[in-house]
Amino acid sequence: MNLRFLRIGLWVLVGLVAVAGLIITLRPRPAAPVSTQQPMPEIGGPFTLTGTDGEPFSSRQLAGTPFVIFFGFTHCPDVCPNTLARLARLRRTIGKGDETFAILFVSVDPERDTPTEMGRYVASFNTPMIALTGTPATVDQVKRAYGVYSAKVPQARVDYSVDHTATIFLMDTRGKFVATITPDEGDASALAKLRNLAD
Amino acid sequence: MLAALLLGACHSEPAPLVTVNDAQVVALPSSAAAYFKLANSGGRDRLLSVEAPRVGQASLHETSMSGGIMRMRALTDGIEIPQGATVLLSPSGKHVMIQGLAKPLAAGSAIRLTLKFERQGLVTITAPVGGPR
Repeated sequence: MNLRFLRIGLWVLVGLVAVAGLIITLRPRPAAPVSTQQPMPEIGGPFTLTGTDGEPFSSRQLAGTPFVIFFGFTHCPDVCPNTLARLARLRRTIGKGDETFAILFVSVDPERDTPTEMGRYVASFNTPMIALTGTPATVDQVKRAYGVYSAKVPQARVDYSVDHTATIFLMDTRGKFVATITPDEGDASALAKLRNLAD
Repeated sequence: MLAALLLGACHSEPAPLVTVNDAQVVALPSSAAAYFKLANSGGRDRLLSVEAPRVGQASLHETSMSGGIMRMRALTDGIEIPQGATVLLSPSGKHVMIQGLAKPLAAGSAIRLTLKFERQGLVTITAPVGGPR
């Protein structure tokens, strides 16, 4: 009798181990981290947005000029101005003038960011910058081209904030993608990339 | 008697002693961010809120980065300042956001901020205003 119970107990145990093994084997694995060695999908491409004068601004106007492009919004008092001020500071550090590369600031909040608002915002940096906004549709097209994410987030005391990609994209004289500068990247690495872009 | 006194002393937390240093305001046309250092040489406290009277609506926020995405969230529970700790409000981290500016803030001017602490009460500071750097 005892032996029978033991046998049943053992078979139950074997069954449990088999099921556990199956679960571990079949469990979906976490996605492998994206390697920088992998070929990048095409980043960038032609676009038409609206300049601070309210007139259309075409990426064709940038032909022959390397540029860096950063996405943000004017109701962003922390990361956006810090990033733009950093780009301005690094361009001054390179010391070859404001034409070394253009700094583009594209709004991910076209509903609030009028051309006038964008103009006032970039004027705070005391260095030439190209501030662009547009319709939600034209902005979405540029965001897609650069693989930029953004999402409105309701806030307690302000209308809303916008979560967004804070990566800077470096583009050459033909508008081809060269490199990125990530938010946590140090100045030495960022400067090397910007110098390379300027050469 | 002595035992009761000692027991009482152990149970009551030391009073907080938070000083606010290195305040600076980064002004933009319609909003601003304020940064400062909170150094607590006493018992624990909590920064509950910040007011910027006659300047705009101030609120505590925290920026975080993950996977290259910038996120900003209101710190509705305030900021804990543990006993003896220093807490920094700094760019791309915890900060005071000031929205709805009554008028643009001029670089070189200064604004008053009133900090409301859970235990220490109200502390008013003067913070110099600068442009984005």
